[in-house]
Amino acid sequence: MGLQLSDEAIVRRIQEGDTAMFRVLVQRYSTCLLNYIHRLSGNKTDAEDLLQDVFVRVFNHLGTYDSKRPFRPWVYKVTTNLCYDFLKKRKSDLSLDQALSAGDDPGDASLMDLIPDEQYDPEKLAMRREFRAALEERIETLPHKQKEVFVLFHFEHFAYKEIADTLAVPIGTVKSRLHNACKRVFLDWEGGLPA
Amino acid sequence: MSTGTHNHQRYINLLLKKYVDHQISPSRDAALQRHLEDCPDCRLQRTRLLAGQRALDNMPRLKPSRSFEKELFLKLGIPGAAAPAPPRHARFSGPRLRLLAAAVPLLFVSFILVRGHLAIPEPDRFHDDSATRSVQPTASRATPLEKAVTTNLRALLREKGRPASRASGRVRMDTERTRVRRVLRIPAAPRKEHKKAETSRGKSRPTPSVDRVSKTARKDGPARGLTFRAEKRQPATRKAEDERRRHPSPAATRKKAPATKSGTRDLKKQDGDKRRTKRAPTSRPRPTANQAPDEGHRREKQKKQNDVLLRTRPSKKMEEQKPSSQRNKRLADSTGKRGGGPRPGFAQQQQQQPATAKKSQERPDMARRRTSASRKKAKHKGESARRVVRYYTVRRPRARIKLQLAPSEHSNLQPHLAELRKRLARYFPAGTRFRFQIMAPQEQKQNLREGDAQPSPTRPLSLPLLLWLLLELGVRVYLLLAIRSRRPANAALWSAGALLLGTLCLLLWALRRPEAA
Repeated sequence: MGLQLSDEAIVRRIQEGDTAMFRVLVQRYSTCLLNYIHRLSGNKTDAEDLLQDVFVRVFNHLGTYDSKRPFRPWVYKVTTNLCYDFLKKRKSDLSLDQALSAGDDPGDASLMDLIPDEQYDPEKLAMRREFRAALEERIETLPHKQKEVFVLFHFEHFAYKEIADTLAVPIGTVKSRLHNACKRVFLDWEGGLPA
Repeated sequence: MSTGTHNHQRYINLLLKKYVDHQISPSRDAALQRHLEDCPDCRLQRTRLLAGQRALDNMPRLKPSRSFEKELFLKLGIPGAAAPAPPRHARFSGPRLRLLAAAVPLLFVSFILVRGHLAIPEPDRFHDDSATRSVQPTASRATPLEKAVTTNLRALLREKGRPASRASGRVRMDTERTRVRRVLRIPAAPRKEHKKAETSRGKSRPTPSVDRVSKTARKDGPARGLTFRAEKRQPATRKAEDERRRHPSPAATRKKAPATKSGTRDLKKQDGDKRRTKRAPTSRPRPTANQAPDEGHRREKQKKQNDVLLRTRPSKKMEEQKPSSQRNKRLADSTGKRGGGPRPGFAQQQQQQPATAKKSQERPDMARRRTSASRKKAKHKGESARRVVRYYTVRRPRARIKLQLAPSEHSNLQPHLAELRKRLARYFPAGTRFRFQIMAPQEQKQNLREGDAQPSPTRPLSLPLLLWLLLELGVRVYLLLAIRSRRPANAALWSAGALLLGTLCLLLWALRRPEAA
């Protein structure tokens, strides 16, 4: 039930009083929003609390939502704003070292990280993990505006238009931010490459 | 230099456009390819870009906890919006499905192996017990005993005018426990009588003690009772002789003499037997070393005494317990020379008591047991009589014979079972108890038993099963590799294919089994 309905139709039904349909929205967006929050905040432990706050805020502000506009960018915009607020609150406490140490937490690595692509090779695995850690470090060190574009583009697979709608910026701005972000993450760095 | 750097930056932008935006014109793409062939730095940048993008794609993704939705809806206060149980197909997705796919064939194979190939065949007690044998007489495994039963059964039916060519018998031999009742006769305890005799005689002559006598009698076996009573008489005889020697009156001699003569009988009974008392010799002085009668009278006396001794001849051990001079003298008189030689007294004694000796020879253990029981009883109760009932549990052979013939013939056979039992008795051990069971022939069981003799209860490892096992093994290995290389879609496909093929192989194997059998 409700699985075939679009986000906008579901929101409309919620607005009409069928609040149980909110469960469908939660199931659709909980995983991707959690990862988005995790990328933006760089903190896994706080990501779920933030996600809960995001859904509470979405539910409370569904009345102000214009159902003629796409729902997805709106949800991400709400999430981004909340992450901003969260980062602002903890800006003084959140240093780069803490963020990096959080990224290096072995508990963050899943089983799939430990499984090599073709063949198990401890040296290659170590190299790949090092490369991935360096990549995450570079993403963390991106300016916030570039980071949100980079995350939306590479992790959430948003199109330029959706990013522009989400961030309420022109598409050209999105492209330039993404270009600069990719350049800093992928190209302008020293070090070895994974085999 | 600045131109080179500018060109380099231009190609970097082109790289980003190509691999990030995927928006690059063919002409620019061709120019980029030409530049990459010449510029190793740009090739390195391209490698970094591709590796980074691949790493981003493989970045782990978090999942909210299971309690997230519940907590969220509690926080929102939305009634009835709590997450229901996941759908059934979702419960067995991902790793669970793979685990299930691996477990089901393994369980199936284990079941087949255990049931069909590795299981020890269930022992058939009817066949395996060495004490019991049952084989269809019609089959080649019929025992001679069963053949004899079948032959006698058919002959009996033929004689009674009811020939039954298909009648057969099955024999099952075993034992049954039976309680046997035995009545034991216990001889009297001689202790008091010996004491009396000893008291009257004094201690001038050594006599065997009661214990020694009993022990000797027990060792002697068949003739122990006789020996015992003969020895028991001696003190009384000696006493009479002493009395007679002191007071040689004929009346006294007549009174005491019978006891000497009838030493083989019971003391009390013989004392009261007047007829024997009259026939007894009036004087039978016991020869002693101190006596010196004349030769003729001495020989006559010894001859008469010898007659008495032949009747009351004790056993060898009792003989040895007597004074050596007396024993040697008697032996010399009986054989005509001194020392050695056969002992006719003992042979005669055995002839006088054939029934007792035979009985004791047949069951020496019982005799020994009886002696022990009688001794104990006499010792404890002090009684002279002794009839003791003992119960023993023995195993007796039992033959369970199943007579298989047509149901219409059952009533005809019933009255002739006693005759059949008589005929069959010579084939079985003595004392076998027969139990007949008349039943209809069991065709199905016959077929099974005859069939069981041919094939082994363990099935051979068939080729389809072997192929399936190999296929399963290969697929499982592939699944592991596929999961490691993160291609779960292929793993699920192969798993499903392996299950299907395995099922088909087993189906073929199951269909071919009856033909092979």
